[in-house]
Amino acid sequence: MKLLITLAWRNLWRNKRRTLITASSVFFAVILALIAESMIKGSHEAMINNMVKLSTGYIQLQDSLYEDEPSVDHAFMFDNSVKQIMQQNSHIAYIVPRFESYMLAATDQATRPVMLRGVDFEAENLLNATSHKLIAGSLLDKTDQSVLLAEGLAQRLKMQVGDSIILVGQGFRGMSAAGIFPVKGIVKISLPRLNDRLIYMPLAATQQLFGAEERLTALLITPQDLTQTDKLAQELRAKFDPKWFKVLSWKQMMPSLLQSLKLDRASGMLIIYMLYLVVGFGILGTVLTMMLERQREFGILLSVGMKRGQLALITFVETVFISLIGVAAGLIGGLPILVYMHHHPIRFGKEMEAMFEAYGMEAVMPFALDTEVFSSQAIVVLLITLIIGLYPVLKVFRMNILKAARN
Amino acid sequence: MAVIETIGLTKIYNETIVPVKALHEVDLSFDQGEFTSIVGPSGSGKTTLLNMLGGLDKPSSGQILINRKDITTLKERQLTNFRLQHIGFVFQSYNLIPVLTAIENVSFIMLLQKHSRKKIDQRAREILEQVGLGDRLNARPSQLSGGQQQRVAVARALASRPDFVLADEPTANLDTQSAFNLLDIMEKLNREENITLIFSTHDQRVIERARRVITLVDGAVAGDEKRQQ
Repeated sequence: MKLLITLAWRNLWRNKRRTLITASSVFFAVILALIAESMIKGSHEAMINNMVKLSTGYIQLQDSLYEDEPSVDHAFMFDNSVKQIMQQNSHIAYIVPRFESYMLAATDQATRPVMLRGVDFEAENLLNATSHKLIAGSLLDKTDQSVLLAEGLAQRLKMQVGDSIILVGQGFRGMSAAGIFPVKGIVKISLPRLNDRLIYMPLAATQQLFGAEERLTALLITPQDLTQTDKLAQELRAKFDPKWFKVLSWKQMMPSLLQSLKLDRASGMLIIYMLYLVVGFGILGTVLTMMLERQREFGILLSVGMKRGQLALITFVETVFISLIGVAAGLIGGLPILVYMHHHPIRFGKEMEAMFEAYGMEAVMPFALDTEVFSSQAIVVLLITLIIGLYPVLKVFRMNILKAARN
Repeated sequence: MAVIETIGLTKIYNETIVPVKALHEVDLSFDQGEFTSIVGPSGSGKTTLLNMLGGLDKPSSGQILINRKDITTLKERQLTNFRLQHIGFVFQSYNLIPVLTAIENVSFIMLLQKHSRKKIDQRAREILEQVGLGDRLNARPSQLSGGQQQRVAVARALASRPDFVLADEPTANLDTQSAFNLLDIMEKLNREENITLIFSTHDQRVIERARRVITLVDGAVAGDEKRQQ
């Protein structure tokens, strides 16, 4: 085996220029594919993070009926049994309790439907840095009986910090929920549909308003490892009686986001597939030339007693070597580029901001930097090579020794 | 005792279209240690006969017995193994592996035969010494002259001590001095190692040195002369 590997390696360098050109085509294709993959993955991660953090969270625990009928009547008791399950699970980074309901907001000039979100600001801050979104006034304390208005809503209602807002809705199990609350601050939410209707209130005050003390409409759960979200959701599902509780991941709560990401990924992959095609044809060209040039040599080797399998292995290993050199160089060369781009993402101009804001994102093109980006490129290019490597193998097995030796 | 025997060996190319008879009812026998030249004009069937004896081509009819074993009945895999274990080849264009050094080229067949490293190294050095290339062990073919390359090819063919060596016009590309050197070496190895050598050649220098000359004309044996030297 050592002899065959040595032969394959040395054969590569018989025509240094050709080997280097082929390896270079793999190198550049890997780098371009890395950048494309990192961009797609990075922008998707950013989109997911923005959407998920501002709306559903990664995983939600709800009352079993809440998903189909999101009414405060289906708020669940956040008691010790639930808290214990959360505390015992080491895969949970933190939990964010919420009490949400649609209400009618009124001022002396206008009335609008709004979403009231009762939150524990400390926990909410961990999820989406709510405090950083404050653009006027001040944040709420746990015991405050006041509200924060989203910037868009404040504009529509023509309200400012210090004004009071009337909230009217249906409380828990037939109670009425109504009150007048001073506006303590205004926050800018990057998701437009939320920015136009969201009102924050301390959790305790919200529960009190709805007459649903100790109850939550949703408990948001953030995994330690975000890539393990589905696994954690599955784990939690097993802990709760499905008769009373439902555990949903963001993919289940926002299927449209998942669909649009898939669509976007498909178009991005088209570019990457074209790069793979370039790599494939580059290697195939070299392999074809190599096979033509060395017909005679192969015939002689088979004549003197080398088995077809051994010769096939040599040609196969040569193809794999070329690819390995290109892939390894591409990964090594791509790493510093991606590290730089990850820390210095491309910033878009003002005109692009609105488009990005629609997705709740900053107008930047972030680059993902995880092992999957690198491993997927390496695996795909190696797979392409392995498939191309089968060509010389087949040729060797079909080779007529005499014809080849006379070539 | 005959190492090789051919019985009614016939080869017809293009049997179904325009049949070309390359060999016709060839009956020959080669004893251990013979130094034989197969001569004849172009197209007389020399190379075809060598290809048959080397198990590289199948006859249309007839038998080839090597150590009394009919190799025409062997399957390809068995033939490959047979060639590896029993036959040495020397080609007109040397056909060394360009990426291997002289000693590696000589070791190559023995490595395929899976001999021990120590034994291979010892034998490769010994035979390269015998062909006068003891000081060029680590030279690549491109660093050797044509004559030197052909000597490495001879060393490669003989290193594994095959039952016989088939050489297809081995001196055709060599100048006179290199050809004589090569023939001296082959004669010496033939004598010392008692290996049967069969050449196909046009080269008068080879014919003069052979102890047996078989003449082929139109695929048939036209003469078989044994000489005392």
